[in-house]
Amino acid sequence: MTTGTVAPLRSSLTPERESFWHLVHAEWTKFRTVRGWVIAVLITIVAITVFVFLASGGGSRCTAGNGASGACPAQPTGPGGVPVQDVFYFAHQPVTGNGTITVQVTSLTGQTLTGATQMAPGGLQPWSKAGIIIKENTSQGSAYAAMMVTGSNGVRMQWDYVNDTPGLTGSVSASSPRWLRLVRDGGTITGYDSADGTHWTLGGTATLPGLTSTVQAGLFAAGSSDSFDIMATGVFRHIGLSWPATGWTGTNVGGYANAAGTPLPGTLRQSAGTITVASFGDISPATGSGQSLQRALIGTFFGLIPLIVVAAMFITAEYRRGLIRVSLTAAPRRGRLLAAKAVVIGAVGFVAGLVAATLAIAVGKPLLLRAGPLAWPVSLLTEARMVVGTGALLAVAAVLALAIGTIVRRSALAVAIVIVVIFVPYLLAFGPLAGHGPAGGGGWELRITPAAALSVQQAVPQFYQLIANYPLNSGYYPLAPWAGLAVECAWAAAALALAYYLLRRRDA
Amino acid sequence: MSLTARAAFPPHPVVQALHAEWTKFRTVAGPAWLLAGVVTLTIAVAVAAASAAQCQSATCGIDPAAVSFTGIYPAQAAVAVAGVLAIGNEYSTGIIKLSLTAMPRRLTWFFAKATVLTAPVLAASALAVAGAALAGRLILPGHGFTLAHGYASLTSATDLRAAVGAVLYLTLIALLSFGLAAAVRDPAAAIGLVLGVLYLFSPGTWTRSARCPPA
Repeated sequence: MTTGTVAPLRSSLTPERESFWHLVHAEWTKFRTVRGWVIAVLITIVAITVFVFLASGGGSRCTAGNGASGACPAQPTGPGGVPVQDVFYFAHQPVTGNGTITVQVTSLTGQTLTGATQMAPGGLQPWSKAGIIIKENTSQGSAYAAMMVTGSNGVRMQWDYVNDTPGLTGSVSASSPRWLRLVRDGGTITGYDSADGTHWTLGGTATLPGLTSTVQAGLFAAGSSDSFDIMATGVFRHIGLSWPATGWTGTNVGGYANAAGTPLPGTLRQSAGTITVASFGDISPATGSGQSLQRALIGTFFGLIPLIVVAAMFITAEYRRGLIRVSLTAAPRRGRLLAAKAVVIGAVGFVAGLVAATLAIAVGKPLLLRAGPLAWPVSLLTEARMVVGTGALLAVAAVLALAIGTIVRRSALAVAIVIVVIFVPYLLAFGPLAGHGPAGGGGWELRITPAAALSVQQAVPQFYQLIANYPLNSGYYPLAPWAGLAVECAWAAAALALAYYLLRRRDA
Repeated sequence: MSLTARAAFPPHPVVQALHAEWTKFRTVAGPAWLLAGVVTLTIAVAVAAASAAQCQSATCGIDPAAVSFTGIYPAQAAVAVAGVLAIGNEYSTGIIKLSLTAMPRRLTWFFAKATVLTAPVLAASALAVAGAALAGRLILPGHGFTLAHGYASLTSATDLRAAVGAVLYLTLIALLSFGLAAAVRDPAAAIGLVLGVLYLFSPGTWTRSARCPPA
């Protein structure tokens, strides 16, 4: 009997068969050969697509602040079809071709409507505004660019309702006036601001496509959009027009009336070297009237459930059948096995979500439009984000289910946990506490739980320069689209890390 | 009692079935943990919801019972898991063959199992709902749910009905899950179905209002 050195055990597999992608391929083969799982993923796709038919119901009904429900009233729209508020007093004169308008603003004050027509001083809002504006014409929703002083947001340049850039900070007064300038060059309008009238800084550059040669240039004031009872008064001096002056014409763009219907026009007062403009209203985007395109994706809830079941079973079935021991013998590096499973189930979820959301929006958008207007025109880019985001939402939910399945090793418990952490926060946001919290509904539940990812489907924009109520049941989420998805990713990553730790530590 | 005496007077088959199922139920850790989870979730969420609720005026329109029983939303999932696993585990482990060999009368076995599930779930639900109601009773008056705001008492007949209803609701969810799991014979698919029915058809999932411009 001879003793010699024993060669250590080495894997007999060739290096390429040991590669990670080989493992992914093995897991993919496991997935696609279980008929029930493939059927469940097909159900996911079909459910998301089919339930758009539920979405179109009630599309044209509006719920007003007082709870009354009725057809959505028409709203003025601006360039690009965006719903706008365009109500202000405009002291204007027609100007043709290129030129410049410059002005010094010495004061911006507020007044509040207290009775039918009585006014009390005070009440200036953060976005009360007065300044200079170049606007295509005096009809609501026409293209414009403006430089303005605001209640507490400093000097701003705004154009075409949705665009806003900041300028000088601080509030305006006689001792610290603000100089504003707009320069028109064809379809481009550039804004400048200055504290002394000699040193100018660029405020912003607006491109207004198709701007007519003759436009209206002048002064404006607008009180507030969130409370139409606020009147803002701007005092202007040193008005300089490079175009030939033809005298100011005052126009109430849009027109504003009190609750009884009595018109409350803005005012224009001219005295030696000073013009004072006072008005209610606002020039801003509106929150829109109608249904959010997100409704077309309401089937996501139905689609999530079969996907979560399959994703959890992708690992728990291995434990139930004892197959996990074979799998781990074949792939002894346990982290790689978990990663391969995550890649496969994540890819399946992503593709299912992508296909389903594409179909749902293709079918749902015409359905919603037939029932009534959309709250906000949805650009192709936003639609792409909603579709890719739904794919990502499903992919991350599937990975979360896989990780929880690895942690608890029981399919029913894993499925229940994942469904609860995604659905219950969403339901609680609408539930008995909705609308009564300080955040006005949809607060923390949709910020810190995996349900936050639903914000990736938001189809209606929020504007910081429009202080309004952005309720959850009209499709506004507390987090920005990708931020919400990031919250879900963080949960999935944490669950995967724990799953990896436990998978390495425990007996299979 | 000696073995001969036992053999001479065997207990009624239903009693035997109940006893056997009860032994199964109490000797696995899962159900006890799940029912403890039901009680904890219901009460913890009730405390959180009651602490968050504020009623500033007589027209705040919040139902105090709905606030106290917010925890039912997550707790029903734990009840559903308990219901599904009560029969689903028999199928997933294959012990069902042994059970049915020992108790060939399948309906007796089935109803014994359902009974053994119902009693502890009923007890746990009652404990959970009582705890949640007590939490609401202690916390809510400090948050504006007072006589001045139209909340005469938090132990009125309506609130009592809500509490009894919540207990029955949780118990019936367990039985629904039990029945569905028996029908589909797979715990994961059964829990997906049950929670789908519970959450997808909750008020709130579908109500989306189109938005009106401010008047």
